[in-house]
Amino acid sequence: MKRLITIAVVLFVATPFLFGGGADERAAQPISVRGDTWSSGPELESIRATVDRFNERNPGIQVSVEGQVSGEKLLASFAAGDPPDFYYLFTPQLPQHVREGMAHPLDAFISGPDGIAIEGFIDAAILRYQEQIYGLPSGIYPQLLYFNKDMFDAAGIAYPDESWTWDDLATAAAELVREDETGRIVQYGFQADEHNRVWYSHFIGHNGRLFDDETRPREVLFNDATGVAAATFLKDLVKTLGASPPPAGGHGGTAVLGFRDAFPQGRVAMIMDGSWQVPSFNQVSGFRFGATLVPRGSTEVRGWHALSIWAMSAPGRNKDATWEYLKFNSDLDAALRFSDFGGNNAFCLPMLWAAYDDPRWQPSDLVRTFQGAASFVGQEAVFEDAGKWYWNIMRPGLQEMIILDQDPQSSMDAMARKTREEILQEWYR
Amino acid sequence: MLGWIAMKKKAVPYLFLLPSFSILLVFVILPIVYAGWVSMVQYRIVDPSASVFVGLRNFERILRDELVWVSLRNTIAYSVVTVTAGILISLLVALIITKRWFRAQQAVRVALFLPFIMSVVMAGLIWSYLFHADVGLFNYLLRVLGVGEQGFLGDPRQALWCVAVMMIWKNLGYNVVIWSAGILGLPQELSDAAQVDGVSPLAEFWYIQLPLLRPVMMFLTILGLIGSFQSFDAVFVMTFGGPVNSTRVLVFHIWQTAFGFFEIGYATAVAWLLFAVLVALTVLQFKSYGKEEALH
Repeated sequence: MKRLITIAVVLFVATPFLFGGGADERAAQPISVRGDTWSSGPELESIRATVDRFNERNPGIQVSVEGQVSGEKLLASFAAGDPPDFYYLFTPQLPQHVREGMAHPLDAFISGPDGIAIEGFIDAAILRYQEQIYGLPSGIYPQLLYFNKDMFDAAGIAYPDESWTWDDLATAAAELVREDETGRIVQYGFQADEHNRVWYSHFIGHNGRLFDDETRPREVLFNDATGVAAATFLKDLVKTLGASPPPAGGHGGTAVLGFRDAFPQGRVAMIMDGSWQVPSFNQVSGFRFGATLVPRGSTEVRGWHALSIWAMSAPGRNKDATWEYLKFNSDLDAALRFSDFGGNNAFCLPMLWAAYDDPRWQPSDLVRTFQGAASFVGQEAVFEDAGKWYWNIMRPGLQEMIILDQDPQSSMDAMARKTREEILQEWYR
Repeated sequence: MLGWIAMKKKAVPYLFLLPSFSILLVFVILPIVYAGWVSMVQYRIVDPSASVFVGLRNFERILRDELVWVSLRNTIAYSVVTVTAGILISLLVALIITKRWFRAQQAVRVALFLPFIMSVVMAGLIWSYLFHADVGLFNYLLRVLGVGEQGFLGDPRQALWCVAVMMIWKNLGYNVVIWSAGILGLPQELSDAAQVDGVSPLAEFWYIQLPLLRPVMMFLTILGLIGSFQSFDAVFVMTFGGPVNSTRVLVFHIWQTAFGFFEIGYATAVAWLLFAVLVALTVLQFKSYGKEEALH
């Protein structure tokens, strides 16, 4: 009996030290927040630098970011019930993410007591769908017209600049074609990307509209004169002027030399691509290149821009903590740092208007040539099944038009018909 | 008591089968049943319990989806060429290397087998550069010979056959090994008797060897068709379904529908179509070989 009482007293005294201290430790453990991104290289380094700064200032929340997460891996993590708390979202897939309950709207957080001033953002940088905001950017990566300085110097043609029109591009591209002694083309003037986004840049630059209502389309409009003109431009570059190779078959350009390989290898004088390519081109020893805005059409819009958008995961368990990070990532300091205060290691533009007036914004000579894109960029089309429309209808349709030398109006009409039958009608079936 | 012992004796074999059956149940039967359910719903990734039952609508949609039929047509064409050419070429090679006068039989077999153990991704990348319209070896050789350059993977009329050539090359070694085993297993006395009777090598092959090698041909054909119908990685690496959907095969279409467009339910329905086609092909082949066996 005495022994039992002794044991009971010892346990009673020891319990706080065994469990009470542990409870304090558990209460002190920071909230873990996980983000997934497809980024690698300089962009991932910039993201992690932001994360490190956040973690230092917010010991109660510890954020980690995993890079090089593919779309399939992201999908699998959601399906397995282990989604990230926030993730990089590919813009055309937003409607699918919303439909599947993956992306969470941010409006309540933005307008809440712990919110942010959304009007300070460049409007085209905000990802909206069905009148709700689903993503906040780290920066803006505008489409640029890249050019090989040595080729332009050798041809005696002035470098492209902001005043260029699409006709100027076509004229210069034709003049920059070079053949070897056998008549084989060894240098093209321009190479369109595999995805034919050049068509889209031309189209929206001339005030083109894809549908009557892009969030809930019922009528196709892109086979009008504007759409046909954009298609004709692409086809003429290849067939009429011989200034551009035909579209590559593979996504990585394995059929012909892809534009991202052809340009730094000195096989093409101009390409159109996002500003994220600059670090890759910088690594090529002795390669002199420049960049400027996408040529202007009949409107102020100069190409579309890719949003590196952070979306909040709907099934994520730590939404308040996640919002703290997204808010931190959206302030002026973060915007400038991510754009490397103008040093532009990540080669994007700040998504806040205030950044351009900040004395810390000291853009490099290269970035100075395209920082005006912040005012003129358009946004990729965001509508239900945009990805399917893009990959299965427009891309092969434009390829077919060029490779098989089809009439642009007939091709656009065929793409419009397929869009109605395979996409629009499926929504309303 | 005796009844209990008898029952125990009868149950013991099933207990031994239980582990294998459990694996079969978990990894084969249940997924098939689940796939049946998924193909009849609008599947929700985050919350599968919120999936909406749509009955046969996903299957009905297959009839309207032009890309499914384009993919199926490409798959059939690709499979027929890959399997037929693969079997014929490997048979020819096997017939040569199994001749008594052929030296270095082992070394050749090993060399031919190396591509088979290479990953499809690696092989696809290598052949992508061989077929490259600008910097590829093949176009370089065509230029040297004064023959016009070809589009290869950039030409919708050629791209699928380029992928087929890569897979024929890759699987050649495996087919040769199987054929060789079959040829070397043929009774030598039949060949000796044929030679004594003055039968020509061609006639010996056609009337004696080939009928005896029919089971090998059947094995290679069935496996080859099943494998080629499920081809995905070669297309993914070399052409991504292009140009102009000329290399879009059924599994690529299923992958893109499921993981690109998040239409898991519909993609599963298309996968059932693939399964049905494969089952039909396999049954046809078994019946066809069975009839020939009966005739003989």
